[in-house]
Amino acid sequence: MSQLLAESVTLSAPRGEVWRIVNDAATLRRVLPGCESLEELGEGRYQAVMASRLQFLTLRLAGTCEVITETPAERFELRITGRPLGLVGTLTVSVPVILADAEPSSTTRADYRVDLAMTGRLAAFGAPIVRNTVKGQIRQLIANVEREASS
Amino acid sequence: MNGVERTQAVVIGGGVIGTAVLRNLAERGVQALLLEAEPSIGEGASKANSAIVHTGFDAKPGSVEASMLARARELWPSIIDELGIPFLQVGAIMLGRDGDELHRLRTDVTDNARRNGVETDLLDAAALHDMAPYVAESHAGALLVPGESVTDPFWLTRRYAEAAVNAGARIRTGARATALSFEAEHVIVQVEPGAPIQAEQVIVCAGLGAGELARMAGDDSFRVTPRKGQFLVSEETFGVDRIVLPLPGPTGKGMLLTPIIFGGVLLGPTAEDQDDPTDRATDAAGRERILDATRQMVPAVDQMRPIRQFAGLRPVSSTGDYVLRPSSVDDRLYFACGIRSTGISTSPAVGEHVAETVTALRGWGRPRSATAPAAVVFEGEAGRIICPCRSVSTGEVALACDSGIGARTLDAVKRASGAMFGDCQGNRCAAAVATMLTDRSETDADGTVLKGAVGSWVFLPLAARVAPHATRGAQPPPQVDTLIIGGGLAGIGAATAAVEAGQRVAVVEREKQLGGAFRASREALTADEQAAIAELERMAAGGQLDLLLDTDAAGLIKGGHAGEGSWTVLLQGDDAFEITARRVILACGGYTQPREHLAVDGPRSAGIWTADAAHAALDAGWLPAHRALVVGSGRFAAATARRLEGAGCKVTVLDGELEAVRGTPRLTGARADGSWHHADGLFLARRLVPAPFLLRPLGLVDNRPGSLPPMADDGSVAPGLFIVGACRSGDIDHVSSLADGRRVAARVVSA
Repeated sequence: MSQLLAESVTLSAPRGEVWRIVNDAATLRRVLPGCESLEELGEGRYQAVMASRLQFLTLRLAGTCEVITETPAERFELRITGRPLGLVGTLTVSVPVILADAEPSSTTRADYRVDLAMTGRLAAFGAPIVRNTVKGQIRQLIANVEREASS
Repeated sequence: MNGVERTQAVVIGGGVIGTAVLRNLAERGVQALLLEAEPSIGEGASKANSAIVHTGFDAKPGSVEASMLARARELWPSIIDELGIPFLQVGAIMLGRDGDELHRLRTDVTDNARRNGVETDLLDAAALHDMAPYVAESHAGALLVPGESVTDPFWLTRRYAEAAVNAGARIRTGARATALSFEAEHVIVQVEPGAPIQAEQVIVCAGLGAGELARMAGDDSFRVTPRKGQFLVSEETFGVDRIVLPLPGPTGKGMLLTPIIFGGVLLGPTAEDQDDPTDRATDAAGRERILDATRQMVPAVDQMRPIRQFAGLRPVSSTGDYVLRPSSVDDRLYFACGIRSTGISTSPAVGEHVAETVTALRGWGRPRSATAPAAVVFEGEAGRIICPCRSVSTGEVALACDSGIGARTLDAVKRASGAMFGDCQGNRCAAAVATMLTDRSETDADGTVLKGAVGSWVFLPLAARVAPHATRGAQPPPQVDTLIIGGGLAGIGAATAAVEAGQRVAVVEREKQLGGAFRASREALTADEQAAIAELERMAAGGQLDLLLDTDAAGLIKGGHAGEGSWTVLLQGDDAFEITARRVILACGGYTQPREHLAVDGPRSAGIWTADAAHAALDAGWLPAHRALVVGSGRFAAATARRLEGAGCKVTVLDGELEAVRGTPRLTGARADGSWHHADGLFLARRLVPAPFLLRPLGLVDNRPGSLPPMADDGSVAPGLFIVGACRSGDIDHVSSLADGRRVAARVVSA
């Protein structure tokens, strides 16, 4: 996997709330950008269809979304693995996250990394565009989590 | 007048400017018809350029070009959004080699940019090297132009055309405007072939042909001459992620490096003024000039192995600026031409300007209505991999043939789908693409497939076309001990050794039969090799291994059901499936080195292929040449010559280096070892380029053709992952492939 991003953000929501959002199927579906369906398969594991517009075309990805917990409300990995419909290949996005209480109170610091692995057409086709789009979607995900927490 | 077609506006020229104008006219309710002389749109300057969307930071203030660039900057965001255009704002860095150049960047260039309303930022040496570590350390600094961007010119031209058609415009390809004359009420456009067209307004967007059309109408106010720009394409970027260019010198803008939006980097262009508007030949001297100039800026150019050299012709106006105005002879003739090197960038503004001007002149007009073409959405199964270099699927090629204005030539399919753009330059997939093209669209009645231009035939149908499809046969197992990718001699050797060692084995082969490069030429192989193929076929028939023909390996994913050291292999037949294996052996050989990798002088004629294309064409029932020249000396070259002769070709085999080619649009001859040889088909069979493409996404090899990873003697490149045969030796004749496969597999499975 190649690293796309390694960043820290401060979310204007308490850590417990952020953790609740990523651990609930209904809220997770709302915050995942382009999520068309999310069906629970087991503990923290979902079958998902996600759509993503790459400026010039819309890619739909069918696969799994997992929240792999190392330490509840502190360390987890969001992992999305799937195949783009109509194209040959696979896409895996791994986002290991560390949450910590931050100042001012009721805010959360999230240290996260984004790793990306592609095979087939996506690996050959528009790699700069795909990487750019994934970056944008991860930032959208963070904005969505904040919006969800404040709603 | 009888037999005359009537319309409000005729647009002559189907490049990026013509299609942008057409879209803007159609959206204003104007009944408009575009005439394009070639079989597809975008066959002129729009298909061979740097694909940069310029800000205009270096344009001459006050020029028509500068004003169009300024307006285009405002329009681009809506163009990207409405039409769905691939676009990356990568930024440009104009380098200063020393203090004097940095001073000029700070003063002259910055002032010019400011006058054109373009934001820039001066970088000192430290900031430059922080931002662009690939730039030569000796540079004193650079001017950053953040707004400079890249797009895909083919996509842009096609989407303008699709939007125009959606809004009611018509496009006629293969229709050349041969004369213009004025009558009291109308302009008459003579068209070949077809009836004359009577129009209220004619707009000339014909690039290099614009000056001639103007003179036909009695307007001699400008000339358009071709300036050739040669380019090189490298799949490996060495980190170049911005446009890198020198400070312009007294002889011009100089050569640059620019990221390609779909991956890779473009180097060039040269600037060669010439008279011939059809001469797009490239040469070894041009290649050297590009490499010399760009390595001064980015030293890693020395390590690049370009996969393609091409040339475009920029239409240079004698006026020194765009010719964007009505004709002085009659304002029913309007010119949008002399657009030398910023046509992609200004197309949104030129389209708008022309449409607004001519609708006002003619008193036409309705409010503008949006006509966005349907968004491109991939759905369902991808289908087979048709282009193994880029993993382009049959589904994508079908979309290129069927959607929008539809691709009708090989080059049009290439530009719409990305197939044939990869390392082998289409030699492994052109025949399959041609088959799909003829199955799905209206090509010539005799079934001839064109490369691009009129007369550029590539394949002729043989009497007996073979079935284009084969079934896989076996039910794929979910898990095996050893998965072998490739059913050529190395894969056969590895598979038989692994089965004999008691392994559960699966062999995946993209062709419909075993034998690899010799699949249809088994008589060229030794008795031992022929027996090995027969033995593997017996093993498969007897259920001792799983043989998956007509199936591609699309990806390797570390890990799987068999534990940490295992591999999951994504496979693609008509549908996608996975097999997990404890070990994977790559025996996928390579491709024959194409002309595009070599410094060979001459045009990009139809009929220049490698032996791979000859075999694929004959497999699919196509005749690739009447009189063929096979360049090579080994048994693969001999086998290729024999197959071509068997199909009715007159064949000459040459053991020499290819030096030059000639003939447009179809090849007429080639020079090797100092002598010219008459031929309408050239088939290179000298060198094999190993193609372990599956290792690229794993980061085990870079994107240069023929790159191999560090490996142990047993071909091990990672735990559980091995390479054997020509995929590591690069031997085009596969002399030791069978033995290598046997040896590696025996060692690996016993370890």
